[in-house]
Amino acid sequence: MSKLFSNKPLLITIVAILVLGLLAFFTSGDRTLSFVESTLGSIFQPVQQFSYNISGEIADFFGRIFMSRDIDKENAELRAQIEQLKQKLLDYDKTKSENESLRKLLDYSSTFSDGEFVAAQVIGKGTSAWFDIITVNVGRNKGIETGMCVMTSDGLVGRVTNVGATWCKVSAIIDGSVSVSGMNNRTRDVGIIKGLVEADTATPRLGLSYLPAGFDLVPGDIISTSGLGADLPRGIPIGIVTEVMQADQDADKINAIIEPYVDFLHLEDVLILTSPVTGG
Amino acid sequence: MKRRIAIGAMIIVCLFLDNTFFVKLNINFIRPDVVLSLCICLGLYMGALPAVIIGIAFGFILDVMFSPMLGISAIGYMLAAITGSTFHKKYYADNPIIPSLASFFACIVKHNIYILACVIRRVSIPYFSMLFKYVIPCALATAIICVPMFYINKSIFVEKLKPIKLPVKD
Repeated sequence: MSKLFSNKPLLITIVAILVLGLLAFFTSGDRTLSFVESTLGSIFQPVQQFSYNISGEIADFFGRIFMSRDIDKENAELRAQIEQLKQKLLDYDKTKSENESLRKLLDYSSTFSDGEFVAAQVIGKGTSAWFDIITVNVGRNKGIETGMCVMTSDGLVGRVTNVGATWCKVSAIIDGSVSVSGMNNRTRDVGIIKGLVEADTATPRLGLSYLPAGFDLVPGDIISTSGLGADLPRGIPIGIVTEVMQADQDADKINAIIEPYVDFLHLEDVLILTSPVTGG
Repeated sequence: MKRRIAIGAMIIVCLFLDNTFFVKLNINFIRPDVVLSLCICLGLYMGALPAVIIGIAFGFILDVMFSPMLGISAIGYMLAAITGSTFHKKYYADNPIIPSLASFFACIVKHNIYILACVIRRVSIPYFSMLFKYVIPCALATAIICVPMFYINKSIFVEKLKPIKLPVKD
């Protein structure tokens, strides 16, 4: 023990690790960023935004070179999909008109028409597979606060966790520490959705757990936010069920795998819900 | 002065590569940690204190912008700088294998620090699957990128010997 205290560099290193570790522990929750952090981010934000856009162009260039062989095949697949979608659109119009009349009957307000949104651009993403943090170019200057819902036209992206003066950090739903209450649109069963930390998948996936015993879930079921917990409004699409585990497993095991609607690998623009919606 | 400008340019380029270029250009999130390999090389050539300061500064910048916890990357880069500085002024360190191996192990340590942070945040991690399919490939990529980084730093820090003309005796 005396050798430890006589070795100054080792002692300084241990003290530094303890100090930084405590700092990391106490800054892990949702919070408004300090003046120093906010200023540092604001200084780097324009450079980060510029370099993020440039690197996107470079990555797209290399992507076009390597994917040119698959374009013809993709073209044929897309044409077949278009035909299917045209048929679905006809069915959708019919269902929509029935829905509208039922809504009027129940005196039910439409979703999200009274919510206020702020459009934001993604200027950075987390640099590792452990944290899925997205940095966007709006902050307190646009009225952003921690806990606000972030989404795109495809579906739910995540929640605002840290807010600076002109930028903020968003924890994506594919992050392993983020829990969202989700509901099966078909059966109305409610469960908890969490991101899965995996190494061998090209696309991020979500796990659905804590469904009621004897749940009825099939691949293709659509999962959206349930509105429980009062942090996210109801009805925001999350993803589609791709794999269902056995129904009689323990409650804390994953019941189903969900593929999110949002393409997190190519996320460019998001919407932040700044005022709560009354419907859903 | 030239050396400081070169170090500053290297820092900016490495930050750009790490935060934007390799975020978009990677294979299943497997990517080299350019900043970590730079910390190793700076520790090798500059010694512990300057490299640790630069490493902690790197870590704080990245944590402010991209991490949920402030200080977590600073620990990783600080340890990388210390690892590199253990070979400072050692004759056998004039070899790309030394910093390359140091980068490999420092990268594994850094990812384990991130895993510990995830465990504290109650994230379920399949440790061995992630270790063999993500951590070790990233460490290998970092070790490979450390080789050109070593030579670039060597060209900046090691002055080339000039030939001396000896007087010719009649």
